[in-house]
Amino acid sequence: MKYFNENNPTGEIYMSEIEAFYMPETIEEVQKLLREEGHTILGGGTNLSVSMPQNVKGLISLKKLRLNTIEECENSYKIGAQVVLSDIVKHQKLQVLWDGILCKAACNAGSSLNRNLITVGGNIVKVLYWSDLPPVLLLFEGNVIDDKNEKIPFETFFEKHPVSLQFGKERFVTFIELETPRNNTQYFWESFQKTKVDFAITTVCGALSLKENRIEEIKLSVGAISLLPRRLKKAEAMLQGKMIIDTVLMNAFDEEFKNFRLKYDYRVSKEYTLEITKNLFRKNIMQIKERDHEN
Amino acid sequence: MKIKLDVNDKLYSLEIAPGDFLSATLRSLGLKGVKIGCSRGNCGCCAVIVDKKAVNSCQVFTAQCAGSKIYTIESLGTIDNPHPIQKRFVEAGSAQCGFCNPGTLMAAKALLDENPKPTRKDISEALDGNLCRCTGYVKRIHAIFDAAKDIREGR
Repeated sequence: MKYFNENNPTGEIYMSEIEAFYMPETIEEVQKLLREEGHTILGGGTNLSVSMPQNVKGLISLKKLRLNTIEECENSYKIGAQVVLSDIVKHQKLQVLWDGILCKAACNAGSSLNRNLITVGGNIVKVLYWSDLPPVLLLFEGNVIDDKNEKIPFETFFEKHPVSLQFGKERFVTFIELETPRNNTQYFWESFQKTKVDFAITTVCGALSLKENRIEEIKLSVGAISLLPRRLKKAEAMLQGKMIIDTVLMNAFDEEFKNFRLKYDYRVSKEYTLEITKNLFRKNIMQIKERDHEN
Repeated sequence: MKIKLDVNDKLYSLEIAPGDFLSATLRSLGLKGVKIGCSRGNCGCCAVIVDKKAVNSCQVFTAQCAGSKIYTIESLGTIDNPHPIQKRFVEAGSAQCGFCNPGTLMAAKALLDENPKPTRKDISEALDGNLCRCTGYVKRIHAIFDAAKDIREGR
């Protein structure tokens, strides 16, 4: 909790629970600190400044580890856990790769002032239902890399949940690694919310390649409507190899969402959320089909 | 804990609590231009520039800023010699109560430092975290657009 300091006439604000703040210079130092009870990694701090998780006594900043680089490798990009979302938004090559959906998703997070603080590591480890990067990362071939250089594929990372994989407790994210896209894959991302700075009501993402008017490969994911972002594997299986026709699409999404466990959202009814989600998928896939015809 | 803080090109040696937020620390240094509005990173009134990026100082722990360069509204201009953005804000009538102005001006300064020739859309996007409940958003966009031109032309 944030408290007003009654002894200070300026009414200064502080987090009373925090007893220590560390800025280690090596990964080994972070690992040692993380093993101690009540210590947690500080990402951008935007969530912590609103509500501190219980029993947190010490914050560990990764600032001195220099995990704030975006590195272009032969067939991949390596993005540091401390890279802030505004740096992704402004990265000229990332604006183009994957049809720009990584940048679009990053740009959707909060305001520009927030995006200057929100880190990649924080956004994916916290994985709040409105987090913007996770649904997009589910579409990509790539991994989360931890402090011991172990690689965890994005799908495993989000399916199992970072916390149950001991992220933030026994290990921490150092980089994410994204394979560059194949030429014939087209991507889409769209988020629906009531205002620009509101949390998403639903986020739809997809990656598909077409061959002779049929879907050759398809990956779909959603965010914001369930507690964790997830792939839509039923719909993917139903659409694989099919021509893009309205009824085929709607059947696939009806089937996918028949027993889907939606998260409660006081802003909208479940029926409304589902209708919007299905239609956003339909609209975006149809647009890809039209673009493909034009080319 | 002890910390050295570089604010407006002046080095302060401070004793802070590990959970102190930058907004509070800056105000305790007498830099009252840092306004505390929502304290949750929503309103942008407390925006300052940390390492060339505009951020909400209510979301940043002071301890995080050791080794960083921090600039507040107090660094921008004076009454006798206002910064071009401040001049244009006055001319455009882009201030009524003025509470949001320090944060807005710092967000604008960070934008113009990085992009000297912004479009009106760039300005609007850069200020999307600075809420204004009385003047509105049109005048300040015009003011910053004109200020950018002034700075480019050395006025």
